[in-house]
Amino acid sequence: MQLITQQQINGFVSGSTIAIAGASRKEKSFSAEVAKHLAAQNYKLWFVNLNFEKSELTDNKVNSVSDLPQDLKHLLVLTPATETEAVVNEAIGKGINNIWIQQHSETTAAIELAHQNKVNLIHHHCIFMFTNPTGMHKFHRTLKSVFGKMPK
Amino acid sequence: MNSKTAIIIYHSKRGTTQKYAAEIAFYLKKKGIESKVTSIQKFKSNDIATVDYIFFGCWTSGLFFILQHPEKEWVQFAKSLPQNLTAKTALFTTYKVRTGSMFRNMNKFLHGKTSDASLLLQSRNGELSELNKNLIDKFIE
Repeated sequence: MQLITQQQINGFVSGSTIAIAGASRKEKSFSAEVAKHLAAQNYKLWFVNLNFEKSELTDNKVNSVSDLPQDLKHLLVLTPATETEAVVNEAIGKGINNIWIQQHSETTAAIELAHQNKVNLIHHHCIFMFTNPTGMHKFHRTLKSVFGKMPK
Repeated sequence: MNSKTAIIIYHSKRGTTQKYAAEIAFYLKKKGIESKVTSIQKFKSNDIATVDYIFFGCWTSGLFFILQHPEKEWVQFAKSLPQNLTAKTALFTTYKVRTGSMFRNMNKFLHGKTSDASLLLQSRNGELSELNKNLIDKFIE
């Protein structure tokens, strides 16, 4: 597995607007937790979910990656693994060049596709660890640091 | 010559078995086998009518060290399959501690539906190991 560098991570988290693909409607879902955390860090967020009803499609909610604004360049992928490759493919077609595939959503197919297209790709890492984590996430980050698992 | 086809049918709880299914499908595609991935919930019986290989997957339920078995919903799915499927069969599972009796039980519920599985794949994290790849290579030879 290719190592992810801190520079790559900085390239992603330095963005001010992030779209979340696989954003769930459920308030207690992992994606909602991520969104709440990123919003608290002052990121402007967009939400992508194929299942959003027409009535739900507001300023920052869309059905697909291709519906995102043209200037958006940062995508966080929280989809089920079987959907990740298609989402990454759509993002590449849209010109999105910073993609973070949250750990457990990554697949070899999606990773290879992103590498072939020279995208700044972060995978096998949790975004909480790199965006001022608090609580349990801060504890996980400390553990990772202690065991030398943080990117260099 | 028509290319071979495979279907990977999974039952996942937290996404690990689903990821494993996607990895198996991607590897098969690299080997020139047309592959489709579906969950047991979305499975349609037409899907298996003409395939050469069927991969059945389920997460390992049980008491960590003993009594491993497929989850009830997968058992219902296995019971609903048509009899005497001719495609070559493989089983896969994801687990925390050990797979124990998991494959034996999966085979039990597939008895009469398929021949005994000639490939058994297991993974803790949904990644496809080199050993897994070698086993798949032999299976599709």
